[in-house]
Amino acid sequence: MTDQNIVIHLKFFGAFKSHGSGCDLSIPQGSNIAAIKAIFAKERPDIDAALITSSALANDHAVLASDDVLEDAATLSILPPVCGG
Amino acid sequence: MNGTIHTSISKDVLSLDKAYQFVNNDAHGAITLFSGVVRNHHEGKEVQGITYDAHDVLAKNVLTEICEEAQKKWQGITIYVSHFKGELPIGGISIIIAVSAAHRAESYEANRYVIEEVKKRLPVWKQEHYPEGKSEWLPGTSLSTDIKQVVG
Repeated sequence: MTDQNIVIHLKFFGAFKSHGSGCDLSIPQGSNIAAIKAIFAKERPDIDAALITSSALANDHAVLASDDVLEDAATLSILPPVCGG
Repeated sequence: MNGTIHTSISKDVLSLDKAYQFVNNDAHGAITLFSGVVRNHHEGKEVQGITYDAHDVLAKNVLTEICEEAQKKWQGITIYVSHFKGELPIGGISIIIAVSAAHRAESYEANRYVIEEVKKRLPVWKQEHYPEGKSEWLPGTSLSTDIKQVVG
């Protein structure tokens, strides 16, 4: 991680939609996905922390691993536990 | 995507006929059709309808991945999968899976494989609607790489 911050846009799905369609989040450049979720939980105490913990972050191609690192501003999706079918 | 796989996330009413026509093939002697349907109860509660949310792009990618996996396991099959997005009343069709194969065994098995993988992996969410205007998003399976259990 560096001292420089980047802004990511989080798109909301499922249960998160009770809180709008998404939000911006400022994070230290080089944060990994686990750290981003922790920052999001701290910034949004109005959202159930257990829901955030059990959710995944994804881009349009794949779900990101906890240790994946973000170096640049990006749009990501936060995906609650799934229940399709 | 190829001529033997169709996947979609649809806001239109799903069509069993379209699914059947896609997989129908002179070389295939078996077609299994699965449809998921909104029922009027869940865990003892009366349900009046369900809203389905989906990450359209990722969901279509995941559906295609699942179908390609099925074609590796059961070679030569044709698969149609479409999942609904939006609000459905009781009796509405939420998903259609059609699989055709030379013989019934692989058709049944592949169809079951697809729905079980959809339940675990597809980025789709259900919001149940109850009497008196109440609604609730249902728990499900976490996609987080460090959490792999059914929540709730």
